[in-house]
Amino acid sequence: MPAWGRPLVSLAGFLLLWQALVMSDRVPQEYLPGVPAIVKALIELVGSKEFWTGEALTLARAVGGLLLASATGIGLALLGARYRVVERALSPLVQLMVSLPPAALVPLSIFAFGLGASLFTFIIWFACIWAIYLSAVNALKSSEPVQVHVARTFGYGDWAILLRVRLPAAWPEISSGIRIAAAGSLMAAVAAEMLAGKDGLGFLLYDSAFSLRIPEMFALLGVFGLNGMLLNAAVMRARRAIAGWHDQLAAMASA
Amino acid sequence: MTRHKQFNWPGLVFTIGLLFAWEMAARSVNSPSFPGFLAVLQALTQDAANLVTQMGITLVRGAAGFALALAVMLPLGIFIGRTPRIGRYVEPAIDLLRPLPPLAIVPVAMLFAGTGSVAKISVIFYSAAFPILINAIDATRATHPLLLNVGRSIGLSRSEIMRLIDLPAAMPQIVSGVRLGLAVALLVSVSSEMLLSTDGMGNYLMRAQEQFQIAGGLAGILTIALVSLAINTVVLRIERSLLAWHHARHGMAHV
Repeated sequence: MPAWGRPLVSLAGFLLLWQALVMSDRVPQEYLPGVPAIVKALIELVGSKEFWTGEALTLARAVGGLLLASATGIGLALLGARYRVVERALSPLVQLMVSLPPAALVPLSIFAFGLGASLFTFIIWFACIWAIYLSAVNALKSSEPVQVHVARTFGYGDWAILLRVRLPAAWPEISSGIRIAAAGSLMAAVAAEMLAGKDGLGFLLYDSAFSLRIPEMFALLGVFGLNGMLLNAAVMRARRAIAGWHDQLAAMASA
Repeated sequence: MTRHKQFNWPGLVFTIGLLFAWEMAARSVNSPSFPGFLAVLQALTQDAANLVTQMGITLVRGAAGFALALAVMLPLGIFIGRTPRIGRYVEPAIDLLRPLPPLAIVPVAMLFAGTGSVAKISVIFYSAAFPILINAIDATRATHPLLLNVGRSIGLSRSEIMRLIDLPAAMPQIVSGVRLGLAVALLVSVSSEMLLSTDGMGNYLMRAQEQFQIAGGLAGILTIALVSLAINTVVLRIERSLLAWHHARHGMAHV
């Protein structure tokens, strides 16, 4: 079976389960429309200009915030791993921020940023950076002692060890953090659009749900799933480029 | 290990410095839309009883959703990670469902369960499920091949390899997944209350903002952050005692 076959089987199984649930008549049809009705709504959606504007806005917001959070999060983690005083100085603040719901910041941020691009950038950056920073700083701290000692024996300085030994060894865990943050970025984008919204997919979802256009609502949820897969695939591709050696080692062992 | 028991002076100094800068900035602006730290503290103490009640409601819901997610998703994630033949088909479906922002399924939950606790707990369950599941899958899949080969060479049985090598190797990431799941559960507990406003901290924030009570809103945010910090500290302490060997190893790397 080709590589794209399995996701297809997986998707087909999911849709079959869904349709079976609808046809079992255990839930009211107006709340849980069947697959054909959702597909019809999806086709109508894809034909509208409003949808594509929203899609472009939401994706741009999520990706922009994620990239900014990755750069700042990994940068901070490198500093924190190199100078422990930085990590310890930031630690109470990070611990305070990490469980703050980005959505809770939306209404107050509107006072500070207005409804423009900087509002979404801030909320999404805030939603992503802590997961990335924490995974990066944890991974950088738990380097293999042997690797570090070998590098030191070869005369590497502290920065060289950090960038050429500990950072590469940390990539698999960092990329897991970015993977979680990527989901967080879409969630924050949608949450901000629902709460502050006048545009974007989150606003469209809110609108369709409260106008009781239920098939369109489920179609939009499908689009969110696809967006997430798209973003996830992009992160995984970056992971293969940067940390592929780790996966190859793991694959060799299980062969 | 003594390092961990040291008091975090850099953290205290940095945090106090930050609060001081905030208060000074607020005094120089002197506007009710930018309250200083002391004004927020005042709002906090004035409304303390109500804040405790609302926070309690939020916490109970968050805990219920999290406990459900842990009970279901941890065994499931380990099973999928250990069985790549099934994982290959299930993971695309996980990737499809995972990025649905928990707040986006709020309308769905509302259709089926109204605005009460059941709707919110389902949304919380959904949100906490994926960090736990994904980390359990990732952790149990990627054991270092060298360790596996060593285990095989010294003649360990399959169950011994699972218990003595795979489990300890997977623990750090599993635990960090559980910790993330708990953080997300609390975060979504608040956010779901912002959209399905009946009671709890999310509702408190919405009311404060509707009435332009910026100091009150910040007091609510501060309460959420402080309670989260307390929970995180306890969870970290449990994590550390579970993973003492792991931290002992990374401690050695800094010798």
